[in-house]
Amino acid sequence: MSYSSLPEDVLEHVFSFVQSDKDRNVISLVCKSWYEIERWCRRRIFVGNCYAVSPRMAIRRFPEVRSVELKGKPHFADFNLVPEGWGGYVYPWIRAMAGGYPWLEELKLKRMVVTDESLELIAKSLKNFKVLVLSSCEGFSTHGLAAIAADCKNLKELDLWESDVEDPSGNWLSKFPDTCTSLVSLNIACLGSEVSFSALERLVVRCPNLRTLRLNRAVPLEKLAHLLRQAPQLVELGTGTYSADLRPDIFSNLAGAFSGCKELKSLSGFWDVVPAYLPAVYSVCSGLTTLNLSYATIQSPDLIKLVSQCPKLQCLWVLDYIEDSGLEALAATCKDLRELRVFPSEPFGDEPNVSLTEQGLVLVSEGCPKLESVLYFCRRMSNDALVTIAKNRPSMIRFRLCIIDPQTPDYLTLEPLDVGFGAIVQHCKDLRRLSLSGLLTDRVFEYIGTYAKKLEMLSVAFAGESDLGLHHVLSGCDSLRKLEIMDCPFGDKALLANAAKLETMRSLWMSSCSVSFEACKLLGQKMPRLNVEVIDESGPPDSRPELPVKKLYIYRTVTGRRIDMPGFVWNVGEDSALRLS
Amino acid sequence: MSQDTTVDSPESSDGASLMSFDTELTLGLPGESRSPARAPAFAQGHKKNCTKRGFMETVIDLNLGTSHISMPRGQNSESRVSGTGKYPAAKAQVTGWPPVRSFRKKTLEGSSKLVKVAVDGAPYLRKVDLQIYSSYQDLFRALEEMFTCFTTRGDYNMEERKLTGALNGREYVPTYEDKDDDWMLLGDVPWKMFVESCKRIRLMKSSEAVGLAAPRTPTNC
Repeated sequence: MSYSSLPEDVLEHVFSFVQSDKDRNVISLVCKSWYEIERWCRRRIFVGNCYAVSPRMAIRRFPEVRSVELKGKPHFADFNLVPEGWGGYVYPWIRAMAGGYPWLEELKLKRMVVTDESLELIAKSLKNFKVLVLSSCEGFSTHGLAAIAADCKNLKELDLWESDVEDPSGNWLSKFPDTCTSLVSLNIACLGSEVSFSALERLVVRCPNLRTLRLNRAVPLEKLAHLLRQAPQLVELGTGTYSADLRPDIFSNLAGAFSGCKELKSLSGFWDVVPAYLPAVYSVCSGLTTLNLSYATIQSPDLIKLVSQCPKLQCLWVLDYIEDSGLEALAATCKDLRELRVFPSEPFGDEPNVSLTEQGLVLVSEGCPKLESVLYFCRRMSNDALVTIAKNRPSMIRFRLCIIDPQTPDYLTLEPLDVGFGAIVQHCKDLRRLSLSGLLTDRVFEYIGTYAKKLEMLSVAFAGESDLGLHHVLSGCDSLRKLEIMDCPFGDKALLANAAKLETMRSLWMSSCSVSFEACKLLGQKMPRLNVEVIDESGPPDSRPELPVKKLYIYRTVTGRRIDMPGFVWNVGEDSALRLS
Repeated sequence: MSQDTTVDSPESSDGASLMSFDTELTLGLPGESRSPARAPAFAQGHKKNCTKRGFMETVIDLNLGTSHISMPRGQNSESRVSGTGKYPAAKAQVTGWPPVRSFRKKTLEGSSKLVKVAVDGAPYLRKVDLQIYSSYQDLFRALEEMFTCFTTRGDYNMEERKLTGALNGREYVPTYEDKDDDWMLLGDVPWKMFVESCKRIRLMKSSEAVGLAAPRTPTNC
C-alpha cells in the first residue's frame, strides 16, 4: 500500500506529530494531496519577516492556525539604526486575523509596532485568546493592555519582554476581572511606572497556576516577600528594585519568603541591588537554572558568592562587573552552563572600568563542557584566546563577541583577529550564529565562507577590506539566512554577483557600506522577488547617485513592494520611479 | 596631513592597504577630533567621498532612546578611526555601536556614579562606579585589586597585603575632589555623602600629601 492511498484523517493524524516548521514545509512538497492535508492541519505559523508574505495569503493557505509568530524590524533596529516610522506595523495582520483566525490563541510579536487599536481589536475579536508575547515592541500604552486584561477571559500569558510601553496613568492591572484565574505567566518588567500593588496581589492570589512573574522596577523590595508568600509555586521570578534600607526584619522576611519557593528555577530583575540583601535568595540558588543579573550593579565578590551557590546554572546573564575572577568561579561551579551573556557596564567609556578580559571567556570555555551560546562584551582579545576557545568548545552554536573599540587588533601581536575567528568557524561545525568584532581583513570572511556551512546569521561591523569579503560569505555560507553589516567596505560587485543568493535568505542589511544606488536599482530590477529598500532620511537617493546608499535592507518576499513605506524609504524595484512627495 | 599616526604596527602584515586616505575638512561638533584612519583598500576604486562614517559622527540622544539625528551626516567626513591607537578623549558616539540595546542603556544610565581614579605613577586612569560599593572598605578593596600592578618600585607582588599597607598611608594617601573642588581625605565623611560629593579620586604619593595627611581638614558636613 503506498503512502498516498492512506486515508486523509490518518495522514492528518500522523502530521499532527510533526511540529517543526521545516518538516511541515517538506511534507507539503511531497504531493498535492499532502500539501492540502498539511495546510488544513497546520496549527502554528512563524513569519520571520512580516513583509515576506501578506496576512491574506498566510490565512488563505493555512486556515486553521491557532498560533502566529511575527517579526518586524531588522535586528539592527535594536541599536537605533532603523529610523522611527520605518514600518513593522502589526495592525494589518490583526485586522486580517480578526476575521480569518477567530479562534486564534497565541500571538508572538518581535520588533513590531503595536498600537492600542491593535490590542483592542485582539481583545474584541479573538474569543479564545490565551497568549500575548510582545518582545521589543513599541507603539502601545497601558490602555491597550487594559483592553487585553478586561476582555481576554482565558488569558494565560502576557509577556512584555523589553517593550517600550507608554504609561499613562490608569490602573490597567485592576482591569483583570475577578473571574480571571487562568494566568500562568505575567512579565511586566519593562513597565516604567508603578502598577497598583493591591491589584497585582489580588491577581496573584487568584491565579493558582501562575508560574512566571516578572515584576517591574517600581515594585519595592519590602513588598516582594508578601507577594512570594502568596505564590510559592512560582518557577520564574523577576524581582522589582532590589534595594531597601538595611533592616533585619525586612531581610528575614524576604529570606523566609524565598525559602518557601521550592520550585524557583529562574531569577531576574535585581535593579539597584543592595548587596546586603543578596543572601536572601541563597536558599533557592541550589535549584536555579537561569539567572539574569544583567541589571545588577554589584561587584565581583558579591557576584561570586551568588554564583558559587548555583551548581545547576544553565544560563547566566551578567554585567562585566563579574570580571575574570568571577568567571573563573563560574567555570569552577557551574558545570551545566549552556549560555553566558556578559554585558558592558560602561559601553561608551574610553577605558576599561573593570578587570574583564579574554581570560574570563577562556576560563569558562575550559570549565563548562556544555557551553554552547556566548555573548561577550570586552575590550581586548587575542587570536590565541579565540583558538583556545574554539578548540575547547567545538559544540558552540552561538558565538557573539563584541570588542568594544572597533578594529581592535590582537592585543598581544597587534595582528587582525582573522585567525582566531577562523578557528571558531573551523572547529565549531554546528555554529549557527556569529557576531564579529575587532580588526578583521578579508581573510576572516574567506574562513567563514569556507567553514561556516551551518551558519544562519552573521553580524559584521567595521571589518574587511574589499568586496571579496562579502563575496566569500555570500558564496560560501550555504545555510545563511540573515546577514547584517555596518561600516564595511563592501560594495556593488559582491552584491550583484551573488544576487541569486539573496533570494535564499530572509534578509540582508547593509549600512554605511559602499553600495551605489545604481547597483541597488539593478538588483531590484533583476530580482523581482526581492524588495530592495534604500533608507535615506536626507532625501531621494538618486539625487546624489555618486554617493553610496546609507542604509540598505533587502529581503525576499512573495508580495512585492510594501505599501506602508514612509517617505525616507525607497523601494528600488522595476518601477523605481520616484514617488511624488 | 599625514595619516600615518594611526597605526602602531606599521609593519602590519594583514595586507590591508595603509595608503593614506584623503579626509576633507568638514563640520563637526566642537570637541570632536579627526583621528586619522586606517585606510580601507576599497578607497582606491571609489570616489573620495564615500560615506564611511567616522566615530566622530554625531548621534543620538541616548536618554530618550530614540534616534533622531542631531546633525546632518557629514557626507565627506569619512575618516575611520584606527583601533590600534588611543582614542581622543572627546570621542563621540557612533549610531549602532557598540551594539547595546537602548533599553539596557537607559536602565544602566541612571544607576551609576562613575568617577576617575588616578594613581600617582600609574600609566593611565581607571574609572569606578561608586554606586556598586557600599562602604569605604569595599572601595579600597577594589582599588587595591585594580592597581596592584601599578605599585611603584617595580614591585609586582600581587598580594593584597602589599598594597593594603600602601593604601593605609605608607605609600599612597587616598584623596578625592569634592563638589566644591576641594581635595579631601577619603574616609572623613559618611559613605553616602562621599558618593554624592565625590568628583574624582586620586591616590597621592605620601610624600606629596603632607598638607592633607597631617591635620585632618575639617569637612563641611
